[in-house]
Amino acid sequence: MKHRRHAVLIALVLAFLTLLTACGTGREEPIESGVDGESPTTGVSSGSRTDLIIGLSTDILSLDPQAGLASNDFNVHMQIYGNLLKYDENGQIVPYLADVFEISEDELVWTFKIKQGVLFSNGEELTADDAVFTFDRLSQNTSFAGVFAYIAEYSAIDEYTFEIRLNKPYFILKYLLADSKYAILNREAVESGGENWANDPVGTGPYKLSEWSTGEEIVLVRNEAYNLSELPPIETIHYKIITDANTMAVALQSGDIDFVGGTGIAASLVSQFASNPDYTVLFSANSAYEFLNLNTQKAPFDNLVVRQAIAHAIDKDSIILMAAEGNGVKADTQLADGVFGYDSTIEGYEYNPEKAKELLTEAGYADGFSMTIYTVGARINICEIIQSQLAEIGINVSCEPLDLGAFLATISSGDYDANMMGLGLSYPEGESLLNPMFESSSAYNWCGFTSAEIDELILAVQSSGDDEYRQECYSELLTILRDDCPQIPLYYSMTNMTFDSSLNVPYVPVLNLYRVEDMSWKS
Amino acid sequence: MLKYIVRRLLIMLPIILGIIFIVFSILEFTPGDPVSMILGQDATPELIKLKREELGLNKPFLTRYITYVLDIVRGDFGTMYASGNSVGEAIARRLPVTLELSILSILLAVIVGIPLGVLSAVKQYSIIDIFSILFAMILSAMPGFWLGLMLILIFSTKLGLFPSFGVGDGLISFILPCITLSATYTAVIVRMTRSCMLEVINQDYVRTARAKGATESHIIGKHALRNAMLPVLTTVGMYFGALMGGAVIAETVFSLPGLGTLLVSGITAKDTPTVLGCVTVIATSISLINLSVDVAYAYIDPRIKAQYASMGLVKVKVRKRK
Amino acid sequence: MSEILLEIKDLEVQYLTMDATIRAVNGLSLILNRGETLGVVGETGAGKTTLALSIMQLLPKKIGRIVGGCIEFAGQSLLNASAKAMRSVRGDEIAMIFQDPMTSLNPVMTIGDQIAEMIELHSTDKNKKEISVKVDELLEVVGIPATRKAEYPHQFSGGMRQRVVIAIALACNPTLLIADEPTTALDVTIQAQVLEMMEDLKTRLNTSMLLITHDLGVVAAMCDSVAVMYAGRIIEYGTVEQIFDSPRHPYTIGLLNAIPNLENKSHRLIPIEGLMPNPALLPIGCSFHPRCKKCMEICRRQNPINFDDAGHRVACHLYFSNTEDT
Repeated sequence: MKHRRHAVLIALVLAFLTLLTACGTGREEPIESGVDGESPTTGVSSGSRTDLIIGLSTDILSLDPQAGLASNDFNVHMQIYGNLLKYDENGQIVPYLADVFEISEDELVWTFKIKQGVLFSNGEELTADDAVFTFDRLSQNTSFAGVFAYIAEYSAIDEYTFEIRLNKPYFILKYLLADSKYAILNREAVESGGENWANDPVGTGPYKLSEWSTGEEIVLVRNEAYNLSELPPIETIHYKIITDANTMAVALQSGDIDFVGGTGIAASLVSQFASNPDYTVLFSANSAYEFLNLNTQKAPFDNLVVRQAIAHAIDKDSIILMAAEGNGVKADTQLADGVFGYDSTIEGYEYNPEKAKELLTEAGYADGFSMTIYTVGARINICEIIQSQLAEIGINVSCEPLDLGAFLATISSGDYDANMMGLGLSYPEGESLLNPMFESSSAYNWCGFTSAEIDELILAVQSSGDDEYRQECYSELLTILRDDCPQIPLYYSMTNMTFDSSLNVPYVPVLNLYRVEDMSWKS
Repeated sequence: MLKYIVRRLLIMLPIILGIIFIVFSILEFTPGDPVSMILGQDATPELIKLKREELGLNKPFLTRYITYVLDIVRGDFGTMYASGNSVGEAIARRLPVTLELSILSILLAVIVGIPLGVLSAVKQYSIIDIFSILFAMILSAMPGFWLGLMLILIFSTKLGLFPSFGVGDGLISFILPCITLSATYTAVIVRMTRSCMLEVINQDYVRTARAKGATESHIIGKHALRNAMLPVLTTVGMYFGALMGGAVIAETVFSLPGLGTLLVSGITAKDTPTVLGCVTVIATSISLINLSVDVAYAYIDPRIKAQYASMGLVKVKVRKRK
Repeated sequence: MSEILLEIKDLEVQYLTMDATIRAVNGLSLILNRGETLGVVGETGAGKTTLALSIMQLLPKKIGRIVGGCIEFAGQSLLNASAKAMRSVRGDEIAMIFQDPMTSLNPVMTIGDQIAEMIELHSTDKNKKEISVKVDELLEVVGIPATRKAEYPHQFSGGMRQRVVIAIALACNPTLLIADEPTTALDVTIQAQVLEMMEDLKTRLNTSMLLITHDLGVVAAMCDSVAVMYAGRIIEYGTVEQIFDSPRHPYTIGLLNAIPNLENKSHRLIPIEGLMPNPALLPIGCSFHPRCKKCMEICRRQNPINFDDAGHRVACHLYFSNTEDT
């Protein structure tokens, strides 16, 4: 009798386990829409391949472009959605969904003539009303409140004309309009889709969603109704989510994936691909920038001479070699070549430890002093190199890594000596970095540097459409920043796109935002 | 027995509420603001304030705690701060992966560990015994991260036998992650089974069984194993709980969309709903597993069953004299 | 003329530990006849349990070794028997009762199951129903209500557990029952009950018994013959009357004198001075000589052989009137 009870118990447990195994592979409810994706044909000769397998380092948050936060989100959204403006292969802003784009004389009225006959993936035609709907939605989201402070009103003048009226000139808007967050949504699709409309996203892009198994894979298929240009040669995109950097490299090595973009293959692992002719590695150095901030509100860093001394004591080449395996470009100023505002004539402080010691003594710190540098995550490596370099001139540095949240909280309290961090560019213009870093009221101003002059110059570049004038402003900005030295530029980190050499990738996209429609397999 | 189970279930509630309170406090009082991280470089003080209001983060501590608890009790785990995605849905999608990973890992550890432990106890000091002790030592010395990557390199890249990431291939996707996770636990189970068996084999009742003329395998199977299994069962229960929360390493290396990685990303982003949701689910799972283990005890050892029954709730029956 | 059931000749058993070799049994010989109850008496450490385990071949595997002599049961040599043969002997023909009833039973099996196990191991032809009936019978015989057969050992008192042990031992109607201190762990009153029950069963089932004990009172009550054991040898053997009325060996005499006597008015007990020798370092000559009041020169040199007188054997130089120091 007892044996029977045991048997029943064991049978129940086994049944439970079998049930779990059958259901729980994470594939239970893939978000399907439209056409089923084709299964990838790996190992088939590249000439006949029409699919592309991309390794993605994290899952995307959502298919709602307005909820995009990280570069992986933007990368996926860009294939599905379209914007009024876009970056061309040279990184210039050009009209995309709009035929013509005009800014009025008083620089306050932006007019877009929308191309006629452009179809969304649901068959609806793109009209100015969709742009109005998109802007309605953006204006209700607090994340965009800063931008909408510049916008007085926007409207559809007629079926194909969309107009934005600013209350003061704001030329940064043109970059924002090309950002995937500002992609034009279809009113019909979003309103009828309700809360979960993003499960079946509708955009004007060359691809549309086939399937999203969260945490695993996103499958996009070619939007056969795409009529903005030729249909792309790649018909299916499989984004495979691989969270570990080592596993990503292994997957590329073994051919499980074809392409890694975004931040690319980890710096310590990329050399094996660079030296292998089966793989192509394309580096770009204009999307992220590493720097050392000094708290200009706190002694001894309120003393310009001390700041300059520290600047002279830092050997940027060593840092690039040791911390980034040589994958970086030395920064003389805050802006890299390829970022509008870059001025090659402005020189940084050369590495000169003797001069540094002299300056320190001049400032009254012949015996040096102690300081703490806060940083986040893996940047501790860079910090430690700085630590040993500053030790040479008698400054005793202690490095403290914090997680991002704690870091932001600490710095915003004002109670810090220095911090070492990096920032990425949202658009290829200097204001993208200089505004948050040096504008007096910015929450990302981590050197306590307030200057009316800087604020004015930042305002000037935001509100002028004259490239020449803007460049002058930038040169002035960079000169002031170099002279006052609240921040020591270190280097621009290089990101890479690494992929199978049989894949034709015609250009290095600005901000690493690649378009799969421009890629193809070589025959 | 039923009363015991009910009592245990009732006790679970205040325990889980307490856990939620502690985790909530930790999130509240450690530095780091989720809103700054969401808004990124575009953050201005006004924007930050607006966003905090939108997410309800400006309300007092206790109000938020109580709201969370009431919501969780109703099954509403809330939405993530950054994306607005439903936490409950995310957990529901990821829980099966973590569960499957944990269950299969424990099964593997038990299937490999217990027979090896029994064998080495029965053949103490023989080659098998020495081998299994060495095996256990090596297994427990291997760090999980390293083992996972090694397995990928050998079996995925070189031999192409198993996938290196994801759960797309069904059960096969779990083989390498399970081996990685179960390594340490297998070692412990081998050693524990061995020492329990050794202890039991030297007991008097085993000698009685021999005196009855039973074969060695009968003795081990029917007498020794059952008595030796109790401490091993405790260990299994303990490790199951640890696995539920700690499968992060395997999930990261093998890119498995499980609860562990969800919890870690929630902590990094200081996304309270995600963290609380995961913690609640994990804490509940562990409590239920512990309860199951304790109930299983009662089936294995009748003395323990008697103990449960007499835990103050059931009156001892007094026999009437004839 | 009784038939010899069990014959042991010159048995030598050693325990091999890392420190030393322990000579637990040194040249032991005895004979048990069918239907007889033989009591083996001796102090703790004499080697009595080792003797019992040796007969059953249950010595701890790595440590215990039978290094000499032979054991014959019903004409068959047990030492040469195969493992399989031995397993069928155990329980079915020779059954054993151990000393401590508290630990002899498996705590997680019902007593009914444990008794049934004994039956199942030796009779493959009985079905569940028949076994169940037999279990009930046995429980009845040992005085436990059959309704309690689904209960666990921890639900019984010490005395009742020993009854269960006895029920298990007698389940297959063994020819020989070896009882190693069966009542030592029990209260005196319970002791009497259990012994009575054993006596009764023994008579009914006609079981021969090897009763190991250190309690002379039990011997007097239960046994037909007695063998006195010291340092791994039988130093005196005879019928109960012979041993109790006319003990010969100084050790036996000492044992009997040491029993507290209600009638004797003396206040002091008379012990045997000294301690049993260390089995790893046995003295040369007679093992008892260091403690013997009647020790002679030859005792220190030679191990005495048996002196037999109408079945009353003693191994002592005192009784060899012919022997002279040479």
